[in-house]
Amino acid sequence: MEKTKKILFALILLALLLPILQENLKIFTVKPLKGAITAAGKKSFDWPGWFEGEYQAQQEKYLNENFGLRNLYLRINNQVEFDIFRQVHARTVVIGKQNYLYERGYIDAYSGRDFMAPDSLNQLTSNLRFIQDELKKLNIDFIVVFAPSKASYFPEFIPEKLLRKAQPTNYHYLSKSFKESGINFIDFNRWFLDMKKNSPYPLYPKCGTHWSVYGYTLVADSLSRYVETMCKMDLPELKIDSIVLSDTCRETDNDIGEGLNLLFDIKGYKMAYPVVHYIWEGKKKPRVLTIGDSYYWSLFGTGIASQIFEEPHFWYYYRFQLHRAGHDGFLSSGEVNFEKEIKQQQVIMILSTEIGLPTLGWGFIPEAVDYLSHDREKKINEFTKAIKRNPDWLKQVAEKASRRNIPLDSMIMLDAIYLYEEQKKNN
Amino acid sequence: MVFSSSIFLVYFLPLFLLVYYISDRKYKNFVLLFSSIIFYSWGAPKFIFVIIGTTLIDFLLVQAMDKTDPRWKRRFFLTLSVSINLGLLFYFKYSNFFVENVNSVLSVLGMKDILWTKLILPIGISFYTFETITYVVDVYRRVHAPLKNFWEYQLYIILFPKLIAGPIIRYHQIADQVTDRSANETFDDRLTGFFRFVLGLTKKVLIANVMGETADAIFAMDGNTLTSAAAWIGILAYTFQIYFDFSGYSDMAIGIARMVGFVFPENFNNPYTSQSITEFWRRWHMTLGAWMKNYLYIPLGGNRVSSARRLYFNLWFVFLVSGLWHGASWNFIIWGAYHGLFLVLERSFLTKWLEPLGKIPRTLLTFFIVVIGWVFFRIENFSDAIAFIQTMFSFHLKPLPELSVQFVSIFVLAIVLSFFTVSERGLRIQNYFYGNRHFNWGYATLSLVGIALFIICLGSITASGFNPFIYFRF
Repeated sequence: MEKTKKILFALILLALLLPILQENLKIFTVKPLKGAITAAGKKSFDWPGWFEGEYQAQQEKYLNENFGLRNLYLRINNQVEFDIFRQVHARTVVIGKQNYLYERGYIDAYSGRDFMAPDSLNQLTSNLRFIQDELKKLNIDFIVVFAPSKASYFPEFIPEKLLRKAQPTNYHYLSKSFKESGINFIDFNRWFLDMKKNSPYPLYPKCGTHWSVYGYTLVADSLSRYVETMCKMDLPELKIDSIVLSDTCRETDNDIGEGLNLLFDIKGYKMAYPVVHYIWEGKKKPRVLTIGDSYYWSLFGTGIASQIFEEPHFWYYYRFQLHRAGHDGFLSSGEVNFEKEIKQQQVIMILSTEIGLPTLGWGFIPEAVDYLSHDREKKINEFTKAIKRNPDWLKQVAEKASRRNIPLDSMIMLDAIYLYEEQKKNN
Repeated sequence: MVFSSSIFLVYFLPLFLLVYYISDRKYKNFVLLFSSIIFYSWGAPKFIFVIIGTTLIDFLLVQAMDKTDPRWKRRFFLTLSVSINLGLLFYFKYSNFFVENVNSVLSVLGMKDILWTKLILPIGISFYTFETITYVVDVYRRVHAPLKNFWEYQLYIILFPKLIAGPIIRYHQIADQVTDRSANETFDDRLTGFFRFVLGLTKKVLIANVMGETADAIFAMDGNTLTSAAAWIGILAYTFQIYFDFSGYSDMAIGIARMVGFVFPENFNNPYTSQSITEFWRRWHMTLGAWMKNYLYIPLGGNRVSSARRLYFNLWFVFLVSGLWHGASWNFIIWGAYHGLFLVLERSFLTKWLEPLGKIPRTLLTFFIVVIGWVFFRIENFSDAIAFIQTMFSFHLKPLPELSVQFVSIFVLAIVLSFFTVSERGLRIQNYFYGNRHFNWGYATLSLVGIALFIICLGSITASGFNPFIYFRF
C-alpha cells in the first residue's frame, strides 16, 4: 500500500515538474499557437526594477506565455471551453450553426450594421468614376473587385440572433451604383452565390475566413479573362490539370479553425486543391497594381498573380507595399513614390470584401483623387516654394542633403512630400 | 505571487516541493523559510525588510517577557509588543483612511487639509499582524512556551502557504509543528494535501473567476441602465465569487501545508448552509472568528459580562472591528456593523422567533441576509450601495442581461456546491473528498483527477489573458 502511494506521489511530482522539464529538455514537440499574438518580452534583472516590482510583473507575463507545454495546456483549456460552453479565446470569432466559423465583422457587414450614409456612398462612387476616367487618360485601366464574403455565401449558418431583417447594406447599394455609374466592376460575391448550388467543389471552407483554394483559382482565371478583354491583351492561360481532394486543410482554408487554438481540429468537409499549369507561350502579362485586403494575398502570396501579371505590385490595405520578385522572397519598401508607382501600371485594381467597403481603398482613393486632380502636385509645390522662400529652413534642408549626399532639389522634394503626407494625416 | 498564477504553479511550487522532499530533515525548515522569503519578496520586495525587522523585535520582546516573572513586567512587554504590531497595522493600513476622514472634517470646518503621502499596504499585513499578536498573547497566558530560535519564529510568521490570505493560525496551534512535524509527513498527507490544493485551485480558477467576471461587469454598469434582474445576478455572482475565491485560497493553503507536514485549522465549513448569522460566523472565515473570540471578545468580558446591554455592545464592537479589519473604508465598517446587528438581534429574540420556520426557510433567510450584506462589502460608496439595493427591489426585470453559457453553467454548479451539504448524503460526499485517509484505489482516482484538474486550471490561467485576433489589425 505504501509503495502505491509513493508511486502516485512521484507521478504527481512529475506532472508538476513536467513544464520545467519540457522547457529545458524539449522532450515533446509542441504545436505553436496561431493568431495575431504580441509576445511579452523578457526583462533583464536590475535592482531598481526588482524593488519597484517592474521586473516581477514583466517576468510573470513572460513566463505565463513561455513555460514548457504552455501551448498544450492552453489548447486543452480552449478545447474544454469550446466543447462544453461553445466559447472561444479568439477575438471577433463567431461560432455558427454546425460549427461553421465566421469573423464578426463580415456578419455585421452582411447584416447592414455598418451601412454608411447614402451621401458618402454616392461620393465614393463619384470619386471612383473620376479616378477611372483620369487614369484612362494616362492609358491605365481601373477596376473595382468585390471579393465574396463568407457571411454572404453561408448566411444559413449564421446564428439567428446576429441576423437582422432586410436592412440596406453597403454592398447592395454600391453594386447598384457602380453599375449605374459605369465603373469597371467585378462582383465575385454574386458570382460565388450563383455557382454555389452547382459547384463541384467547395468555394468556401467551413472554418476559414477566405475563399477556398479552389475558389480563388477560379477567381484568378476569371480575373485574367476580364483584364485580357479590358487591355486587349492575350494573357497567360491557367489550366487545371487535376483536383486533389483532402481532409486536411491547406493554406488559409482553416485559418479561423487554427486561430481557435483547439486541441482537435473541427471536422469539416473535403477541400479541393487544383493542380494547375500555365500557358505562357506567345502570351503577354500586363503590369497590375492591386490595392487589396487579405483576399488578394491568396493570389499574390501563392504566386498565381505573378503567373498572369507582370511583377504585380500589391498595396496591402494601402499600408505595406509588396513586390514579388520571382518565387522567393518579398521586397517591401516604406516610402511609396505615388506618381512613379501609378504611371508604370497598365491596370490598377481595388479588391475588397463587404467588410472593407466603409473604408474602401484604405486611403488610396482620396490620395488618387488628389493626385489626378493635380491637387497633390499643387500642394507639394506649395511646400517646396515655402522651403525655398525661408532662408533658415532652406539652410537646414541643405545640411540634410549634404549629410545624405543627395542634390538639394531632391531633398527639398522629399521634405515637401513628407510635409504633404503629415498634413494629410492631421486632416 | 499568487497561488493561481503560472509562475507559482509551474516554477515555484514544483521546485519548492522537489527541494523540500530531497532535503534532509534538519534542513527542511531552512528550505521552507528561504522559499517563504522568496515568495514574499517577489510580491513585496521592499516590505520583506519590514516583516523581518518587526518579527525580530517581537521575538526579542517575547523572549524578554517569558524570562520575567512579575505580572506588571510581563504586561508591559505584552502591551509594548501588541502596540508595535497594531501601530504598524494602523500606520500602513489605516492611516490613509484616517487622514482622509480628518481632512473631510477639516474641509467642512473650512480649514486646510493635512498633507499626507498615501502609503502602500504591505501584502498580508492584516494576517501576520494578528498572528504575531497570538504569539505574544499565547506566551503571556502561558498557553505555550515561546520558540527558542528566531528563524523558527520567522518561519511561523512568514510561512508562505498562509502568509497572504490566511488561514490565521494561532501560535499554539502550530508551535509544535514548527519544530517537529514528522508524524504528519506521510505519503497519505502528501497525496491528500495535493488533492486539497487542487480542489482549492479549481474553486478559485474555474468557479470564482467566472463568477467574478460577470459580477465585475454588472457592478461597473451605469445605475441608470441597471435592471433588477441584472442587480440580483450581479450580487449573487459576487456572493459565490467571494466564497469560492476565499475558501478556494484556504483550501490551497491547507493543501500545500499538509504536503509539507503542517496541519492547518479549517477556515470554511459550508457557510451558506447556515440557519442563522450566528451559525454563519461559525462557518465563515472560522480562523478570524476564533481570533476575534479569543483575543478580543473574551478579553472584553465575553459572555460573562454583567448585563445583556454590555454583552450586545461587545458583540457589536467585535463585528465593527472585524469589518474594519477587512479594509480601511466605511463600507467594511458598515458591513461589520450590519452583521453585528443581526448577531445581537438573534441573541435577544430573533433566534426564538425564527425557530418554528424550519430548516430550509431559515437557511434561505440567512442566505438572503448575507447576500444583502455583500452589497455593502462590494460597493465602497454607501449611497451607491443603497441605490443598488433599491434597484434589486425595484423589480424592473427587463431587459434581462445576456449571460454566457459558461456563466450559467458555473452559476448552477456554484449553487449546488454551496448547498449540497444541507443533506446528510451531501455531507458524506464532501467528507470523502476532503478526507485525509483513503484506500489505494481512492488515492489513485483522486491523484489522477487532481492532475487533470491541475492541467485544466493551469490552461485556464494561461488562457485568461490570451484572446488574439485571427489576423493583425491596422
